[in-house]
Amino acid sequence: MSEPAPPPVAPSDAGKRPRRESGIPRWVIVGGIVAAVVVVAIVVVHLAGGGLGGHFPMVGH
Amino acid sequence: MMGPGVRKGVLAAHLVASVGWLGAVGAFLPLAIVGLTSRDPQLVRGLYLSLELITRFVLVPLSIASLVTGIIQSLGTSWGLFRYWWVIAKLVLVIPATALLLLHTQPIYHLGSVAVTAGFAANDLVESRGQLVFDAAAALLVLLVVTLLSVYKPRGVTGYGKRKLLESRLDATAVVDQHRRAQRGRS
Repeated sequence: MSEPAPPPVAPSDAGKRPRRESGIPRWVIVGGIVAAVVVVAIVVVHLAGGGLGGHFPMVGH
Repeated sequence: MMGPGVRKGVLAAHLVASVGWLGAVGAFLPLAIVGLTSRDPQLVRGLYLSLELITRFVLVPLSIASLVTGIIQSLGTSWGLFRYWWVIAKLVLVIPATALLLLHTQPIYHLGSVAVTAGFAANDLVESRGQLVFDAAAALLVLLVVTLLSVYKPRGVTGYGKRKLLESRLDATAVVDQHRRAQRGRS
């Protein structure tokens, strides 16, 4: 149950930019941006009253 | 750290709760869609009563069990809670999903209680019923992403995780050195 070792650098990769081994991985950054956009969209739709309804029982129906 | 038997037991409980939660949401969504679109009042009543029961006795217990067993599993193994980005991503998705489910139980229970009354018509509380469809679809998406994260475990160790890995390697090296010294002392 340990983190798999990073793959060895192939000779063909020698000239390429090295993979960023420190800091936040790219998939976390991309996922975070997507999640933030979705949350903002949901909040905007809720605040605009775009047909998603409220969280609480409606009176008068 | 947990022993192998306890670890497997907690893992089994976590898998059952998580997959059960995903399956229950998968069953909830088509029922909520039919409940929103059907014009048959008897069918709509039956559906919202079913959704109330599914929420009360399946969704809520399984979501809480999934979260609790997941946290126990993380804390009791070398994965930890804050060592790997994929574990943190799961937490960031599952905690709000559970909180939103608990927040949305009241409208579901309300729909269930109103649906059994004689005056309930097929076009009542349409906004709340639409909300249920949206919530179930969003929950299904989140739980699918969480399942994929658990299976693929994308690469990435946090700064805290790196420090912990280094500490455990240093501990292991110290144990090996001690063992070698003891062997030399015997020979």
